[in-house]
Amino acid sequence: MNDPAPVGYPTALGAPRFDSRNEAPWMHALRRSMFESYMKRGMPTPKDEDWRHTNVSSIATTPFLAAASTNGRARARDAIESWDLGREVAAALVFIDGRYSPELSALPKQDAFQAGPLEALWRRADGPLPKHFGRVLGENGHAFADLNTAYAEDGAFVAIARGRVIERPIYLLFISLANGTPHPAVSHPRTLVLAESGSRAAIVSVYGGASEDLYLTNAVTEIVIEDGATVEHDELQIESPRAFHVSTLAGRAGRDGRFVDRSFVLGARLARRDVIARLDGEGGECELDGLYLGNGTRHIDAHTRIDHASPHTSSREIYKGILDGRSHGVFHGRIVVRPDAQKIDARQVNKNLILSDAALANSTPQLQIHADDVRCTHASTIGQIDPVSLFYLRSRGIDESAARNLLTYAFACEIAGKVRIPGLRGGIARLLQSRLPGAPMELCP
Amino acid sequence: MLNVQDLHVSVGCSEILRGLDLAVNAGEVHAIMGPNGSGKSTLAHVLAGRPGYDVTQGRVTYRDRDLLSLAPEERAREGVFLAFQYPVEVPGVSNVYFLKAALNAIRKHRGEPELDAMDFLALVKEKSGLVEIEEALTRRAVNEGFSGGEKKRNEIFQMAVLDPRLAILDETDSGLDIDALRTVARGVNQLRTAERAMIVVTHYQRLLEYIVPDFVHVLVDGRIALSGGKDLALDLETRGYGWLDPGPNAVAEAP
Repeated sequence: MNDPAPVGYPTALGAPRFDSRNEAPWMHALRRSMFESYMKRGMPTPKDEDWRHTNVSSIATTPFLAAASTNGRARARDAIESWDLGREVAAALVFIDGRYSPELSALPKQDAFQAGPLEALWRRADGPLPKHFGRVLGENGHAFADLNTAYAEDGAFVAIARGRVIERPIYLLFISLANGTPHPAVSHPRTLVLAESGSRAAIVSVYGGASEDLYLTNAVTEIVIEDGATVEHDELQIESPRAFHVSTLAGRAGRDGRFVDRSFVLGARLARRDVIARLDGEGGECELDGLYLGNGTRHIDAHTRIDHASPHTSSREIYKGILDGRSHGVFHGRIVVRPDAQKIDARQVNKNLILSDAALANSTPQLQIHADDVRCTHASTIGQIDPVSLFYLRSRGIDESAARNLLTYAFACEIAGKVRIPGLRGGIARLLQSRLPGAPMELCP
Repeated sequence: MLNVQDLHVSVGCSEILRGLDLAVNAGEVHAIMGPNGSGKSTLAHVLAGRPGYDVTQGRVTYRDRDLLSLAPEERAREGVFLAFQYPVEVPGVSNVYFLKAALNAIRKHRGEPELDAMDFLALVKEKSGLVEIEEALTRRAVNEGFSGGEKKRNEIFQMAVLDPRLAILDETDSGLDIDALRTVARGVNQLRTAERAMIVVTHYQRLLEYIVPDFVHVLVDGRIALSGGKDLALDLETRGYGWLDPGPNAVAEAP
């Protein structure tokens, strides 16, 4: 039995307004079932295996209210400008506190893809949503994902038409202004990406804050990759220093489908990100990369789950953490190989670089293999800068602190250098330079 | 230029160098030979300042300064260069960036202006020809994914750019086929000048056919057991190391 819920999140929000939105019956039913699922689960506690190292009681006891920002538009524009990828994007959807902002978005007319706010589609009984919305996540979510479905105000819908290749990325920008309420604000951004068979697209999601206040972003993204389609997703989390950020990404790839997710967790005082990838058809591939930076007393938790549900599927995963101050980084990587899913190739690596005496890293690889003809490898390291590398740099005349900074930056670059969109890669490199003292003013090679 | 006197060095509990003496003048090339475990690489690393080696006795002067009191980066800026036996891969840092940072640190120390990007690239172009290193390689991450031969050529390329006074080559021949060895040796020979001294550490005489030394020293059990001219290397090739007397202080190895 769960303890009685504190008057915090989500109690202060009140029961979700299932009936007042004019939504289609399927959406109504989905919200209700997810809320019921939450009521059964309750908020996670450190007693739950998946939340052992991440205590969310500070979220559960804060009476968050739905953000209703009335001012700060200028700050939102500044935040958008600093993350403007300009002509590098095919379309840009901007959300303020989880609500679509048509005046800040840019949706050029074309026929290769459809992009727009979810809210209008929730009212329709037909279209692709009843089939896909909430289905990728299915029963795999946790309490926060349940609450996102129950409370989401709006979100992004992107559908790539069959066989179409979108060269430039589709850009989703979620800005928290988090004001206009007497209590800390919460938003529930939601995204559904549907890549029809044989299509290819890149999606960039940025979650940022333009608020000094405490707030919560509880985001869910679902990505459906049909047979032979590819989706490359880059996600940058640069929430404000006092923010809480919880996000869940569920991706499912069909036969010969390819799912790439790269995550950069650079913000928020407490960040928890779950990736749930499912390879549903033969020849499916997924590639999960992540970089998390901790300083001060920040807490970062990266949970990934790769489900090899079909034979002849492969996955590659590299997660890296750089932890300074008294920060705490958690990596938990689960790889599941279903019975009869033979000829699986799965490789997982987690490396943590510890820069201070008080920083802490937990790394838990977890292989659940129920087939016999598979190749699964995992490696996990927690350590300081390699003394031999340090000596090598110093022996060339570079002083010790500069050599340390260079090696730290280089450690991060292994992930940042994989980003294929030049403007985003440059932006991430600049962020790394500003957060890692003395990092060289050079982009990752 | 370099004067090593009665040098004793321990790693952990075991004493590796046990009273080594060596004098090297500008323009000279000294070969240090010896069996495995005799202390050749330890000598190379101690001169470059690698942490973890305890000097328990003796002194090393370099251009009238106490070399052992200097940090590794200070030695590099004073002109000491170690070509590593196992060059380190540094993913995420491009070769040119790394070299430019190193060269400018050295130039700053010498009171010379830092090189701008244009001048530096011109220098890279000039020096990369010396060891036949492809320009594309100079833009890749330091040593990452390089073949054994490419790594060794990259060491000599770095040496050419950094222009040291004292170059120490630690088993630069190990793992090289004969063509790669010739290329590396050709690069080294072009860097021989009247101002520059070199210490070439090697297990095999083969390298010394291509880099002909002025002096050959044989290191046995942490001290120089025998010194001679370049012909000594040939002698060692035919006779091996077994006949050399480890000296009165030698301690019998545990079986």
